[in-house]
Amino acid sequence: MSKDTKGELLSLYFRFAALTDSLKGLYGGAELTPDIEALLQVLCAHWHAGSPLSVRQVMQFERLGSSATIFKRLKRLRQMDLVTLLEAPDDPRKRQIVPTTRALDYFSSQALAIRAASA
Amino acid sequence: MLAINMSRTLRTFPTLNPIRWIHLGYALIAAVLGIGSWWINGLVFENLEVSSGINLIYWPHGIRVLTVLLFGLPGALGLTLSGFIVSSSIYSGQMWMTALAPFVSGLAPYAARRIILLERTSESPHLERLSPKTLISLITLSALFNAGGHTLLRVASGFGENHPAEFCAMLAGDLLGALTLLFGLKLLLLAVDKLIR
Repeated sequence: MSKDTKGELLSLYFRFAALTDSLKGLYGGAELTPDIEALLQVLCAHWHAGSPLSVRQVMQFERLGSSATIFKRLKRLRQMDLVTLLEAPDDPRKRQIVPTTRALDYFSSQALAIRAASA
Repeated sequence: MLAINMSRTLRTFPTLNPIRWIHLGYALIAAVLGIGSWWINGLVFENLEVSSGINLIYWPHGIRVLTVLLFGLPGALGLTLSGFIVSSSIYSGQMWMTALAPFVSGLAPYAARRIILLERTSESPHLERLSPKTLISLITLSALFNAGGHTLLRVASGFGENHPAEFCAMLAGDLLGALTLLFGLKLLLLAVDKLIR
C-alpha cells in the first residue's frame, strides 16, 4: 500500500473518529466546555488525593464561579455521566463527588495524547 | 486497430492514482447509502409522505450529511449519482426536476459543510472543527439549502402547487429526519461503549 493511500485511509479514520465523538457529545447541546472541564479537574484531583469533595464543599470554590454556576455545571457533569455522587464511608448522610470510569477514560486519553505529542 | 486501443486502455489503468480509486470507492459507497436510505425511508415512513418527493420524516438527509462529512466531495458526487437513479421514479415525466434535483440533494450538504466548517480553500482531512454544535448547524444549513433548492426547482418547472407549504414540509422533514438519525446513532454508540466496558 502506497504512502498516499495510507494517508488517505488514516484521514478517513480521523474523520470517522471526529464524527463519532460529535455524535456522542449530542447531550441536548451539552459538551465539555473549558469551564466544565476545569470543575471536573478539581473534582478528580481531590478524589485522586483521597479526599473527594462534597457538593457543599465544591460550591465554595469561588475561583470556579458562583455557587449557582458551580451547581449547574456539576449537574451537567452528572448528566454527561462524568461524575457520580456516593455516600461517604464514614458518614452515610454525606454525599461525595466521585469521577466515573468515563471521566477516568477521558483523562487517560488526554495523558496518552500528551505522551504521544512529547515523544 | 481495436487490439491497439484495448492495450492502450489497459496500460492506462495501472497509471491511475490509487487515491483516485479510493475516491471512486467513496463515491460508490455514498451512492449505495443514498439509494438504500431512500428506499428504507420510503418503506418505514410511507404514511408521512405529503407530496411526491416530500416526507415529514426524511432521514436520508442525515445519511447525506454524514456521508459528505466522511467522504467529502466524492461522497457528494456519489449521492448525486444515487439521486439520478431514484429521481426518475419520484418525478416521473418532469424532465427538469429529474435532471436537476439530484444535484441539489447531493451538493446541499457539501456546500453546508464548506461553509460551516470554514473550509475556504480545501477540505479539512481530520474534521478538527467538528463539534456537536457545528454538527447541528451543518444539518440545519444543509436542510435549508436542500429545501430551498428543491422549492426553487419546483417553482421554475411548475411542479407542485403550494410551494411555501412544500418548502416548510421539506425543511421540517429534513431536520426531523436528520436529528432522529443522529440521536439514534448517538444512543447506539453509547450502548456499544457500555457493552465494551
